[in-house]
Amino acid sequence: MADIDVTGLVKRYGHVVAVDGLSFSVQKGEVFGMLGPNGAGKTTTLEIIEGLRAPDAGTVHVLGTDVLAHPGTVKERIGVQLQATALPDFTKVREAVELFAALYRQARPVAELMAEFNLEEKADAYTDKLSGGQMQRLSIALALINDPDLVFLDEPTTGLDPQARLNIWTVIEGIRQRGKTVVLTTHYMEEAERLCDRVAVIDRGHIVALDSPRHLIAANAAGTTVEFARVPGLDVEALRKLPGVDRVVADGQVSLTTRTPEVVLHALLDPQAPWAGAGSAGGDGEGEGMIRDLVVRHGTLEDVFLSLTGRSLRE
Amino acid sequence: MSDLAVSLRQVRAEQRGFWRNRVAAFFGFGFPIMFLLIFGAIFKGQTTCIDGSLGARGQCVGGTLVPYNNFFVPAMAAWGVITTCFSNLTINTVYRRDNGLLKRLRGTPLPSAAFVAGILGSALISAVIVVVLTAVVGHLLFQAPWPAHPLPALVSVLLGGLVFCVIGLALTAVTPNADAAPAVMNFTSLPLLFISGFFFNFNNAVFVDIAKVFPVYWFKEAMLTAFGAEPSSSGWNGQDLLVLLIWGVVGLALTLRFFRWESRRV
Repeated sequence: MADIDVTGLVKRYGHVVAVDGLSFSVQKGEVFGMLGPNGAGKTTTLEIIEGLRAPDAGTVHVLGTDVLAHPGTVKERIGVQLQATALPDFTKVREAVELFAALYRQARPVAELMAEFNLEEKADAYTDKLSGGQMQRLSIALALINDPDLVFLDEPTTGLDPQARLNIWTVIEGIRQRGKTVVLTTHYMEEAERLCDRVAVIDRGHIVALDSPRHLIAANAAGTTVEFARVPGLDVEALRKLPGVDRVVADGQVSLTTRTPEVVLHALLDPQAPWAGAGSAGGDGEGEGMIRDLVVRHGTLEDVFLSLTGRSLRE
Repeated sequence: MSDLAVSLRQVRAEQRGFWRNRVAAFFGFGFPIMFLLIFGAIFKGQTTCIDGSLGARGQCVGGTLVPYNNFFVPAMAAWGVITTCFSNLTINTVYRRDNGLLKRLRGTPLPSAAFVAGILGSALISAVIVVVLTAVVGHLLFQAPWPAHPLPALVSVLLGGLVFCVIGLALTAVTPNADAAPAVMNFTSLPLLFISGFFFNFNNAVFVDIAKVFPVYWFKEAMLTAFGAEPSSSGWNGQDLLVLLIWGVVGLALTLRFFRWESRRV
């Protein structure tokens, strides 16, 4: 049985259809991403699954339980981190952890959790004195206080500086290594690519694609681009005939588009190829060939979103 | 943990937050005490006519003539209860709704009832403290008598406090956001305080009739009776408490129907 089973989910706000017939499953132990621009319906979907909001139609089963019928049972077993981190005012870090620990039948030892999230130093600081990154670590720690099997993280790194973001990514990878299922929303493609086993690309309340980041990119982002300098004497026609090359653009530089970069690179860097070895243009180094300034660019989920919806992720 | 233990824990956390938030604590406690000091000093030694009207020669017709501070101490104690249970609790709840804390707590197994019990319990503790403080200041500085009927006084404070808490929670439903909350609270409570005769005898029949529709008036009456400012053998006045109770039931019904755990989507 999947950890999450959603079928035919619909949520309207007045005339606005925020979620328009979503169906998907999240398997045990995977990191499942929901990628889309602001207002795509990610948070609404998440909050319905968490039992915070009632849908207008559809069914939601979490860890085998019908959330709409038994929200209390589900809340005991999941961890929730909301988009806006809200804690009681005038509360110190340790007190906040203790306060949330008391809300569950079973909770992890407070000291252990604080050590794990590097919060010991700040234990006696008021929560409103924390940096953005510290606050987010605390927020995720609180989501794990009941040692849940399933954790929801709503835009866990939005608004953080790059260092803090990397730090949170490490935290999330740690959660995954302990075998927990993670559902996260993001509008950062690099975040989804790095962390997620599968990504649902969401636009205007619909899932427009659902697959692993690698497959999504392979299917929708026009492959990988291999670029290098156009050296005089380089046989561009021969490059066109290389296995795996879909398209060649040669102007100031040469760009090969491919869905199988491994094959193309192998052929390109073959020591027997006509462009290998000492180049006619008189390179600086011994044995330097005509393939210079080589760059391999991946397609990204940004390209995927653009290709699927015709719009940019962050517009 | 049992629901009771969870509720008690919430009460403790609420109280801790309340006392650490010095501005809120000051407004809850400082205002009634400040008015007591000012008005108490100005009108010390004078008398006031409760529930009656002053005749042509200054006599109290149809009411009771008492030293001003015998009346003013229980009135300010009542205001303190209204401030802590109605104004502060409501402003604080709207603020937490705006910043997402209420929604965050909904994501935990904490029962709604236990959460509400926590904030009500904490508000009632603060209410009892403000009443005791007012009585002590009134007695020491202005020779106002101690509450004549302690048990009715305590029951009035707890019942009145509870009623103002649930009415306040009901009012959060029509309070758009935290910025508007203090205005909504002042607009609903200050005029009623005046026409209900919290500061001086207010003998305009029309205004008094209006005041009698609302619980503010009846709470003041209950407190005056329990403190002994109004003649009463027992300190109990069934009518005062009954009207409060009805308002409490109405407030509870409105709260259960209209209370929102998150701010309106923009």
